Amino acid sequence: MNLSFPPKEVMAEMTAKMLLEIEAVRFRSDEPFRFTSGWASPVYIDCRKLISYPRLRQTIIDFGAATILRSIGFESIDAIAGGETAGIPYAAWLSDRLMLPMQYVRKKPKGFGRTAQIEGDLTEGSKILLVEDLTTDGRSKVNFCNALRNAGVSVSHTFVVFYYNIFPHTKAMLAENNIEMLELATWWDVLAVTKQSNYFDSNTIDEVEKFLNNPIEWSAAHGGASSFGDKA
Amino acid sequence: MFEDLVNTLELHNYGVRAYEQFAQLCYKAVAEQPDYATHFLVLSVFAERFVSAYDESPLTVGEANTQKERILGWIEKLEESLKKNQEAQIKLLNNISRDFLYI
Repeated sequence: MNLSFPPKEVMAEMTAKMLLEIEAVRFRSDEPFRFTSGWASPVYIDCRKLISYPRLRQTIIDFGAATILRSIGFESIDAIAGGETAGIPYAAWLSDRLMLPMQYVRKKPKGFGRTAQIEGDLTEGSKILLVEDLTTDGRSKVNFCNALRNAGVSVSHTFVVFYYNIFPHTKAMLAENNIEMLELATWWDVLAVTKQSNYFDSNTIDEVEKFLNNPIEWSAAHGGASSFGDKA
Repeated sequence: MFEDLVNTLELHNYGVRAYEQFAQLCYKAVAEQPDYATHFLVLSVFAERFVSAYDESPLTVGEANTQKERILGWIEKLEESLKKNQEAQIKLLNNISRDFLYI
């Protein structure tokens, strides 16, 4: 394994640039998107596009491996589990890069028993890192971690390429569930890069910034959720 | 009869998670109200198809609103049909089933 360990902010900026370069980032305030949780948003990101770009994805996986080793340790994870569906390719590449076994977790159980949601060989008591492409409000991470824990393994960390970082309760909610999240980039990194470049016009960037600074107000004004609690 | 289903969609703002909850309530209702099992099963099909179509995919507010009007419209018609005879109810369920194939 031959890895370098660039500063976190360099990896964040590079990741944001790569996502913009392949047009994985969509800004649209005239017809907003509705998130799974019901929030209206002018921003959408499709991290699955990265799988089609080998030079980019190799760099992303290098960044991911460096982030994981620096934050968690070199011998502190026994296996990598990908969350269905978008987490699976990232888990495969990271498990290859870190020379660790891999599993994946289904959204719903298939069949019966404690491991009905898990595919791949799982060793009881092993320490698993959950990998997904992105996090919005974090709820799917909790579901995946619970499925893994119910199968008899330990999960204390999750890694994602992209974290929205606009909903204030996300990391606290993950911490309540004993999950620490590692990410490469957030919307704030994308916003910083767009301000230095000409990917989007200034009106679009202004509208996106309004949303990022106050997603609840923006969502409510555009027909989406207007509060946290059960609605988020 | 369908008030809880409508409230769930409203509570979760007609996003994918709303329809996941909606489908769960339908399955429960199939068991609890066996005389109307088909009504709830047909509604669960719509919810499942919505989740399948938009989970991990971009859903615009416009499309979410179109699907919202569609499901609420059918629920209203189902509610009205309960006052009619069984033949009318079966005819409506057939119409809804055909419509739900195209989401």
